[in-house]
Amino acid sequence: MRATVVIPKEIRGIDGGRFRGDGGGRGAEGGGPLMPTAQLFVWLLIVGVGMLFAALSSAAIVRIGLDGQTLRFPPIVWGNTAVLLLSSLVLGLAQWHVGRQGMFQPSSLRLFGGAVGCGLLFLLGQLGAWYELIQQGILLTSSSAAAFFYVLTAAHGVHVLGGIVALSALWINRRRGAVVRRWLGPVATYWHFLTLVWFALLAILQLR
Amino acid sequence: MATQPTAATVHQEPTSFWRRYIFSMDHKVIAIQYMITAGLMGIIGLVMSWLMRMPLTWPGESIPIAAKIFPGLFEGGVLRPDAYLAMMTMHGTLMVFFFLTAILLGGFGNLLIPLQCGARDMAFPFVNMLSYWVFLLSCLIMLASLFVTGGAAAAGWTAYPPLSAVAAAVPGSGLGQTLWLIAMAVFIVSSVMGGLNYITTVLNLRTQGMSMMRLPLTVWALFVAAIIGLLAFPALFAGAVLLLLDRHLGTSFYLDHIVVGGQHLAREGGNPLLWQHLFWFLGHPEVYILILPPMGIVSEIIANNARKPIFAYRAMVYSIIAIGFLSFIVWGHHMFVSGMNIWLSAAFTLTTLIIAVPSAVKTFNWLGTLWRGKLRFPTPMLFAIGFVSTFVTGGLTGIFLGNPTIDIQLHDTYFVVAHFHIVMATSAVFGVFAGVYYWFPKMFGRLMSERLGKLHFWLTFLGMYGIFFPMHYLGFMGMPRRYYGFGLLQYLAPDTQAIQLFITISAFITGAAQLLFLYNLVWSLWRGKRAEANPWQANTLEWQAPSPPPHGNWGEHMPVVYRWAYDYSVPGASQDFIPQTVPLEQEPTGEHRRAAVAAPELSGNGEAHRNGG
Ligand code: HEM
Ligand SMILES: [Cu+2]
Repeated sequence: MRATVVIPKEIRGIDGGRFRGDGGGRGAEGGGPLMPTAQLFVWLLIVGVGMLFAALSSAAIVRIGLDGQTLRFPPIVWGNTAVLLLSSLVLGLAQWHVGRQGMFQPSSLRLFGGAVGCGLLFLLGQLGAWYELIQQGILLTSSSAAAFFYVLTAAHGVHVLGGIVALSALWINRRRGAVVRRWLGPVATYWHFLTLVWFALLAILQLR
Repeated sequence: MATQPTAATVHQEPTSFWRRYIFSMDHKVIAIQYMITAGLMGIIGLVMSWLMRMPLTWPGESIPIAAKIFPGLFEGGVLRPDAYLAMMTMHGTLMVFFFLTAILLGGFGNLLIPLQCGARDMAFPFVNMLSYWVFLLSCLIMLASLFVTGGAAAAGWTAYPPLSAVAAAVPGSGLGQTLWLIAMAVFIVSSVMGGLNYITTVLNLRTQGMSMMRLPLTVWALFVAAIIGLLAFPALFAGAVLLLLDRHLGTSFYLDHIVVGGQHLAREGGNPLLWQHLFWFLGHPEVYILILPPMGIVSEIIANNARKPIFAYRAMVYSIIAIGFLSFIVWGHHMFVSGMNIWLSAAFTLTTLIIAVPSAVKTFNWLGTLWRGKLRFPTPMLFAIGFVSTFVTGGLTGIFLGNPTIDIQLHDTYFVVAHFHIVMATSAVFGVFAGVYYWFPKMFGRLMSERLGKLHFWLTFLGMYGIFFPMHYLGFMGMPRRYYGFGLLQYLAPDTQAIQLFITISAFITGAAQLLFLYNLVWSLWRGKRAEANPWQANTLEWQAPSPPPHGNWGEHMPVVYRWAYDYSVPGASQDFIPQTVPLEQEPTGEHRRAAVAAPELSGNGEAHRNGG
């Protein structure tokens, strides 16, 4: 048995759909909240994940600097970088399309799928990079630069995997307009953040 | 529902037992789950502390009863040295993370944030539920480490390498330490999931009229504590990952030229200081995660029982924020003796002394709130005042320790143990007790017994001072912490043993007093006096909902807020309290003090106008 209650229009935002629609926070003096709840959630997540990478990177900077020896990336890393950048661009394009059409259309869906595909390809490519290093005899224990290469790329990879899971969840829900409108922006923000982190990591691993 | 935007089901109450009480997404049920689990972890931690007292009080003497209950830890009736180290490590870990952090953020955060903000639930109920279950998993992993070969981790709650990095170092450095690290990592995942929810909910789900500067101080404190956690915990996660790699995959992030058992480990170039930085970058903010929420709880209870607005609300908010910020730049005060550039230690001294300022502002404001109030002394108020007392005692010793010249002498002695137990084991725990007595009627619709509560307070208050105050003297005399015994190196005057005995007796009495609390909890659940709707005549929103609040908290209509939470004893009002939901046309407000005193009706209109817009 469930009681259905009509929510007055002015507070609908707070209650819309299982109590947690966006647009609550009317306590804010100006009326609405700063940003939609899902977007806020992801920005905060980015802050937390950012702190994780900040901690690992500062350790890497100090240690690699002390040892004075950096790692020559296996060439495939540059290919992977291009693929990741491409995924972000394509996802951005898909976002733009959905923003204009309000819904996934076949064209934006193809772009979206392409972005997910690029993400997977990036992860495979990273495994390839590790394989190349291992072939060269450069292991986790070989040097601090190698150790931090493995650690930082693994940490990044795990978060990319999380991003792929989120994108796939969105794919499964592609026909549900409300879910897409609520989550496409935030998930894409997270994805672009991981692309930025990737460039930061490449730079940090070359610092000496 | 998406197709029917004007109608939403408010009472989507899950009907099956499992969905309602076990896999519940209701913030109030999750709060109680957190409280019960954290409470059990606290009880386990308490028993461990008794075990630790045994070799310190009666070195080498056999204690048959204890040996019978914990045969695995004793040998010949005496607690084994490795068991002592494991107990010490697990006691600290359980108390800091699995009891206090969990009960304050997971318990009170879940209970109070949606209710006091005027939300129907957390922003992401599913993530909230997940946070509890992941927390429970981390508890189980941590407890499992007690039963593996070699026993639980033994490197202290701070887990410094190399002790924590080299499996051959001591028995507890084996599987026990690995499980410790994994449990901590899982715990961190859970607390990040919780924290994201608390912050989002405070920012985005406040009800109409509830501006940030109208939030009760409890919510402010929990909000800032959650932000601290989100920023600080990842550093420990990073540290734990690197330590696991050092332990199991042969890296040397923390290790350099280690010799264990006559064998030289092939590890070079690492530095144990890296761990100390990563650990204390979390560790110090963590102690403020544990003190801010009690500060909020205490502010609420003191204002309510002094029947006065909290003194200098804005200063309280700003000092919470200042403490939150400063807590990130003082961590080096835990490392003065670890080898630190003298200018750097001067900088950390400076920041450490500065953080005492907002702490003192808060203390003065509590005193200012009490000053000439119409004081009532129910149990929550006793614990709140006890909090202020112990926070002053413990805060002052912190200032001593913040000076390297003194700290080099006192570091790793019982003086430090005294300092942090008076702020954490006493102040923060008093905040928890105050909160449980105060919000028990909200959670269960019944009041706890005042008679038992007061007895519990006095025994605990005197007992805690009895335990921890003498430890300052032991510290002065040079007694190091984390020592099982001194053997032939005994250099402390023999009569210090009398102090040890006094401490241990106090500890047993205080521990036993907690049975009163437990009995009171259980008795009151069924037999407690039924609470009226607003038993403390309080202003905050949670008392506008039924007790216990239904699923969705507010029934059909969301509450609308017209004033701050501290309209107590407003001149010209019909009662000495005015709930936040009372419109300004009905009652005056003291929110904007000067305007209100000068022309109550004018300020009232101005407010109403602003809200209407
Ligand atoms: C006025 C504020 C405070 C100051 C200036 C301060 C200062 C210090 C300093 C300098 C130390 C290092 C001592 C050493 O290891 O040699 C220390 C240790 C500690 N403090 Fe505080 N403190 C303050 C408040 C607090 C609060 C409010 C808490 C907790 C709720 C707390 C918890 C701790 C803990 C847990 C340790 C010891 C950690 C360990 O080594 O195991 N402190 N404090
Ligand atoms: Cu500290």
